Amino acid sequence: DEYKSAMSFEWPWQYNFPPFFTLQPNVDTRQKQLAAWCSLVLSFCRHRKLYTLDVLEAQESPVFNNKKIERKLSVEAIQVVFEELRKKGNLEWLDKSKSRCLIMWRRPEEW
Amino acid sequence: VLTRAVGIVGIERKLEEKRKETDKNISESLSRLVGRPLIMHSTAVINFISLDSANHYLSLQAKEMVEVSKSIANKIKDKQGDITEDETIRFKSYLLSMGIANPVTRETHGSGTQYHIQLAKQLGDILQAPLEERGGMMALTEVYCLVNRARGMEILIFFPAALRVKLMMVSDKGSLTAEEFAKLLGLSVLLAKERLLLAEKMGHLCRDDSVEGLRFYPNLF
Repeated sequence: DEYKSAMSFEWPWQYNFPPFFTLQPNVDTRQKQLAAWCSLVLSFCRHRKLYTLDVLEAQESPVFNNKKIERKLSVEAIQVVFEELRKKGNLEWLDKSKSRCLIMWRRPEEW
Repeated sequence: VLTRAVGIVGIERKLEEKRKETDKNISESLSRLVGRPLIMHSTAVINFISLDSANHYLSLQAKEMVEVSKSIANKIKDKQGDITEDETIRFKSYLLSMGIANPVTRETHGSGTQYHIQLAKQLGDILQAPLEERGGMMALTEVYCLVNRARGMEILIFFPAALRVKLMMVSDKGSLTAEEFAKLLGLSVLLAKERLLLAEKMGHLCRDDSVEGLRFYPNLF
């Protein structure tokens, strides 16, 4: 079930670091933070075999919501992470309002 | 009728006497410099220092002072060498007492002002202990309060000293809020937050903004 699957997934150290869930104002720090988020989202989706994501649903999924440390990434921050993934070629929006997206664990050119 | 000055009344009376004497001195010195007798509106000069310059009456008085000081400035320029270094310094402190900066005169005749040099020295003495008590850093407004409280009625209007900003790291407490950091270092919350934000800007710290408040962590990213 979902819980077991979430447990067997190997979370990066950042996942238990509270500042990971606040978008950092320092440009350099934010860059490193976003890189870690991108790699986490991709490996999580690969682990769960997820191909599409809904922004609002995603916020409740364990990847963006760490119940152990009671931290949740805001919808705005999730949008920023997704936008970063799109720039890297790992994500495509399915609608104009950017509420649903396709997630590609590997970029098209890697296939 | 009270003949002996007591308490605040006594202090005020003493200050008033001292002020009149200063007025007279300034007036006399200026007269000497201009070369003609000058009728000074006593107290106006001194009042101008501590009161708002928007005050119409006092501004009028000050305007007169500006005219006078301009003519002196020209005199200094014309007769370079005629006026001694000592007189130049004295003139500068008059200008200062009126809140008039005269960069041309200031730059061509001697460097800095006696007033500022002495003031900086005095501040160094006054602030040494309070600074140490507060972890080596104080807000300018705090310094202002402390110094002016100590000086009583002769308050400062100029503040030449810029205090060095010192960076400090969040201790091995793991994470801290500005309030906790303030308590730890014995600083004001405002200053503590300033330091934390600076450390964040330099990339030493990062933030955790949640319902529990704004916490700062060492930047592990």
